[in-house]
Amino acid sequence: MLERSAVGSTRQDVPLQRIIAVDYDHCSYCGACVAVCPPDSITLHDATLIIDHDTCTRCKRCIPACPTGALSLTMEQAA
Amino acid sequence: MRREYDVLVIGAGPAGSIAARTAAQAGMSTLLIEKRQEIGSPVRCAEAVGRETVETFIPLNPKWIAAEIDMFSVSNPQGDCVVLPPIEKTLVLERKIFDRELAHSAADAGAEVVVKARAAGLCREPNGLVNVKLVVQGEPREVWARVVIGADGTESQSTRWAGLKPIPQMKNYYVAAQYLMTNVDVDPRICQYHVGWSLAPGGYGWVFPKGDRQANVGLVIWADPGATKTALQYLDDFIAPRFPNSSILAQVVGGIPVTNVLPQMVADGYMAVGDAAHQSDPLTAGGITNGMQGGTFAAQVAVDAIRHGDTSASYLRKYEHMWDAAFGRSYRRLFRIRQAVIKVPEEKISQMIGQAARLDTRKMSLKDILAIVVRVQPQLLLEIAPYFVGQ
Ligand SMILES: Cc1cc2nc3c(=O)[nH]c(=O)nc-3n(C[C@H](O)[C@H](O)[C@H](O)COP(=O)(O)OP(=O)(O)OC[C@H]3O[C@@H](n4cnc5c(N)ncnc54)[C@H](O)[C@@H]3O)c2cc1C
Ligand code: SF4
Ligand code: SF4
Repeated sequence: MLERSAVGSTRQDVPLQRIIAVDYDHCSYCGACVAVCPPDSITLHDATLIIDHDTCTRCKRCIPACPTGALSLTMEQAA
Repeated sequence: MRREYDVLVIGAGPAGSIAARTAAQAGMSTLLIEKRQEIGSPVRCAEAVGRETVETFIPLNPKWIAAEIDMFSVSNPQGDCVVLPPIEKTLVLERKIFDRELAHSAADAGAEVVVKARAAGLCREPNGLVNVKLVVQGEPREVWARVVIGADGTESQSTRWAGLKPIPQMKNYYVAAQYLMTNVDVDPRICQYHVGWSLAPGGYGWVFPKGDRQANVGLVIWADPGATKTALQYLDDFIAPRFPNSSILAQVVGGIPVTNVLPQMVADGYMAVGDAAHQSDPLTAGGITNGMQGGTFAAQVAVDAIRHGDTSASYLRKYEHMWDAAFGRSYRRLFRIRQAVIKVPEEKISQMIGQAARLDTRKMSLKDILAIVVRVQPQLLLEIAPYFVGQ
């Protein structure tokens, strides 16, 4: 897993980092993942699910708590 | 919306609406906020409740009763089935209408109900008032309340803001998936339960009839980090052989903590009720009327506290004592039973149901059931027996 210091470097050398990704085709906005997230990194607003990648510890507890399989830990370029 | 209220309730589910109604009836200025645009929708529930229990909160109304249930059945994956009378006559609700009716009754009692209003943070000020940040129709707002009742369900954040941090263990967290199905050929007066690890690991499946050949068909599984299938995939496998000619009208998913209630349900100026306080039954996860009872107790204590001018945690703790007197013993027992039952291998559970299915249920007694448990899995009896004697 890459360090958080990776976030904020310049575009070309932004390395891939692991983040919890939401598959919005599968998410039903049920909130089941919110309850098991220790640092409170997931917020559900009506029909928007927001993950705070800065506070997320990549503990992966939210993944099996999702009834639809909408969450996964994937490699993504940091914004 | 005013600037200050006696009681502010976050979340207009059954627990929140009853809390708001109880506070308003006692003459408290009460605000009930709901982040959704429509109370009761989308439904996240299998909608079964005890008839007499629900009637203690609201007069029965055919508008929100989908079916009346006389019997329960418990089946194993092989299809053996034991039919038993329920402890209490059961209703399958139309929660969309039921939840709205409860919020309506809160408004009738004088509570102000606002939808599309989300709580976004809270903090108790030195003067004892709780400041609550809101987002109403997308606009930031602030209100102050003497007591805040957090009825914000499984996804509760208010419990965290209040420092009660309810992070459930994964094995004590149910992940649920359900379809509302039509063209279902089942006995409309029997609620079916289905057990077995292969079918719903750590949980169980259900078929709750809703009349008109419709039924809630669903299951809960435990949140297993090693799981290879999602709850929805387990559900698809459950319905495929059982309901090949039925159609799906709606999909419902959600999560329910079955940890037993939070060790602390109050903080200074704050009380948690319903699923926010993990008040669902720690075996079956039924939480509608349990949350309504929690909401009633909390509001009664909030009213007393406000009248006494003391809304500190130590005063509000009276609510925890009321809860414990009503539910503490049975919840500790149900929690233990689930912990014991999930350790029993599927073949043993199936064998017990198979043997019970061959008895004449009209004459079956608790002694007969215990005799089966002793024959098949004596260990189970040893584990749960202490919770039935004395304690
Ligand atoms: C699939 C499934 C099947 C179930 N089957 C049954 C059953 O058959 N029988 C039974 O008794 N129980 C059942 N339950 C459990 C039952 O649904 C819950 O226990 C019950 O709904 C809890 O009520 P509540 O009022 O605490 O919370 P909820 O009904 O969840 O209401 C909470 C409300 O708070 C709102 N809210 C959340 N955050 C905020 C915020 N920040 N600001 C404003 N509003 C907010 C939400 O939008 C929601 O409307 C089931 C649950 C599931 C998931
Ligand atoms: S990985 Fe852990 S910290 Fe990150 S969102 Fe999921 S539960 Fe929360
Ligand atoms: S648990 Fe899954 S479906 Fe439910 S809100 Fe979280 S990501 Fe979406």
